[in-house]
Formats: sequence, structure tokens, C-alpha cells
Amino acid sequence: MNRTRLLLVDDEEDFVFALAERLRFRKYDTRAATSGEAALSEIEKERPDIVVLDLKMPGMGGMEVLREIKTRDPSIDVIMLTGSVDSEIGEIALRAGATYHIVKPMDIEDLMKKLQDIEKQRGLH
Amino acid sequence: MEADKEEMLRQRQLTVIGKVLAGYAHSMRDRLATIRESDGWLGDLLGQAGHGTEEDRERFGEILSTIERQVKVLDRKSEFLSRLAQRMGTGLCTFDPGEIVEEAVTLSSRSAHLREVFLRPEVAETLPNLYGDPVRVHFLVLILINDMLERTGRSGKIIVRAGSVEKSVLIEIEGSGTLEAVAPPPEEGNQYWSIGQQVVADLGGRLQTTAIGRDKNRTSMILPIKQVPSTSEM
Repeated sequence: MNRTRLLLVDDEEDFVFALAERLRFRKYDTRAATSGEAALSEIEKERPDIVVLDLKMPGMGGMEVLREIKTRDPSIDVIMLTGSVDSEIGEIALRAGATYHIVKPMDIEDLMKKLQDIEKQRGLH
Repeated sequence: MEADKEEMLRQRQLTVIGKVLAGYAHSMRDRLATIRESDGWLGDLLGQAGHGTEEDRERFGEILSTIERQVKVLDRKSEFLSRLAQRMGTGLCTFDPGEIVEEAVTLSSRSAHLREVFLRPEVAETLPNLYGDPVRVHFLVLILINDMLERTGRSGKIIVRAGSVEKSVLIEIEGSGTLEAVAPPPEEGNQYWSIGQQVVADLGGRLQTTAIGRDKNRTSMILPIKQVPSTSEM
């Protein structure tokens, strides 16, 4: 059975590891990267259907990664994770091409709903 | 000229403090996200068949619920801290006084808890926005709550209300079970009073305190609803 391919990107290793396990548990084909550069390299290796991307990371920040993803392959959906409650930041991410944005700490059910919405819209599995 | 320099310095200090606070709040939220996902992951594993006895699962479930409750509390506090940080150094703008009251109460809840004082906000569902310096108003509400906390004995109660009256917003800090219910004189006798008077006067409002009987004290702040000035006025 083909499963939706996710790429999680966050410099918080413990966070990304736990979230990846939870999404695997929910039958997603999940890979993880802990930097923007590593994320782009993972995308080169294998195209994910959806990227869950942290906004603030050292080095290449989330916004820069988002723009690069959209330049390379606009059909990849990106859910932006932000640690800020400032709704303006989320709106900027949406304008830059993110499909959704979620404020951390997030509710897994909220993330699942957004993943399922994208799967439905894109006709994924 | 000196006053302008002072004001500029103050704004810069607030901006720097705001950046530090924003970074701190962001870092808290990152940690909370990790705790929540780790907690959730453990929950997922325990939910699978064959892990421990029914009793074990119940106990673990209780522990996970406790962690989740604590995450929610900290999440809310960090959200307020984040908002406070964002406002630092913003200067004059339109702001929601109800949001400010709720934040100030949340940020004061630890002090209230340590003093065994019951503290809660009562904010009207609909409240008009105000125009002014939200940092000053926030600061004022915080110091007035702190002042009331200092004057309230154990098992006392403080309610911070925000509502609208005619063309003003009324913020009241009412303490009951106060040890010292006498209203402070307008200009001295209370370290916060003159600062408070100045901040409220700058917003075109007034600040007053009333003793109600022997064990109740109420500080009221009346702030007129101002429109955003047109460019020519600014």
C-alpha cells in the first residue's frame, strides 16, 4: 500500500524524533531532518508529499527552506510550524506558499486533520 | 531634548527586553512541544494491545493526563509572555484592554498562589479597543494587582474586572480580606500611586481608589475610548 510521504524538519532533535514516531504509528511514511540544508538534501533524494517545517532554525531558516521547496517543486505541500503566537507570522508563511501553519506546542489531532485535508485535496491514498 | 533622548532610550530598552522575552517564550514553546510529543508517543505505545495490565495502563494514563494539563498551563503562560514581548517598544497603537487584563492576571497568578490569595479576571465579552501605549497600561495593571496583593491577607480574594461604561473602559482591581483597606492618599503613601496617576493621565483617564467597609478595597481605572488620531494630528 502506498503511504503519504512526510518529511519533518525541526532543529529540536527530541521533538522531531518523537513526532516522527507518532506519525509512523499513524501509518505515515515519515522521514526527519534537523536542519534546512538537510531537508533540501532529503527532498533531492526522494520527493515527499508533505513537508512539516519549523519556521525558526539556525542556519537556513524555515521561510528560506519554504521558498526553496516551492521553487523546486510547487506541488509539495508545506505545513509551517511556528513557536510564535503572532498570527502575522503564520500569514506571512501562507503568503509564501505554505498550505497551513500550526503553533507549537501543537495538538497531534490538529496536525492529523491538516494532513488528511491535504491528502483529500491532492487525492493522496 | 533631554526628555526626547530619555524616551528614545526607554523605547530601545523595551525593544531589547521584548526581544529577550520573545526568545524566552519561543524557547519555552519548543520545549513544551517536545514534552507533548514525547508524552503523546508514550500514550500511543501504551494504547497498543499487550502493554502492561489494565491497572498499569490506568496509572500511566493518569500520569500522561497530568503532564498534558501542565503543558496546557505553561502553553497559556508562554502565549501571554509572547504577546507581552511583541508589544514592547511598539509605542502608540490600538489594543484590546481585556487581553491586557487577562495577561496581567495570568502573569501575577504565581505571586497570588504563594500568598494564598485567590486571583481571577472578569472580562466583559465585548470590550472596545483603546488607543495608547499598551505596554504602559499593562505595566500599570500589573503593579496595581501587585499593590493589591501586598495589601491582601491570606485567603483573601482579588477580582480584576474589565468592562465598558459609556465612552470609557473601566478596569477595577477589587481586593477583599485586605489587611489595610484605607485608600492611599493621592500623592504619597503608596509607591505605585504616582506612577499610576501619570500613566492614566497620559491616556486622558483617571485612577481612583475606594475603601468599601473594613475589608474591601477597590482601585478603578477609567480610560476613555480614543480614536486613532489622523495623520495630521500625529
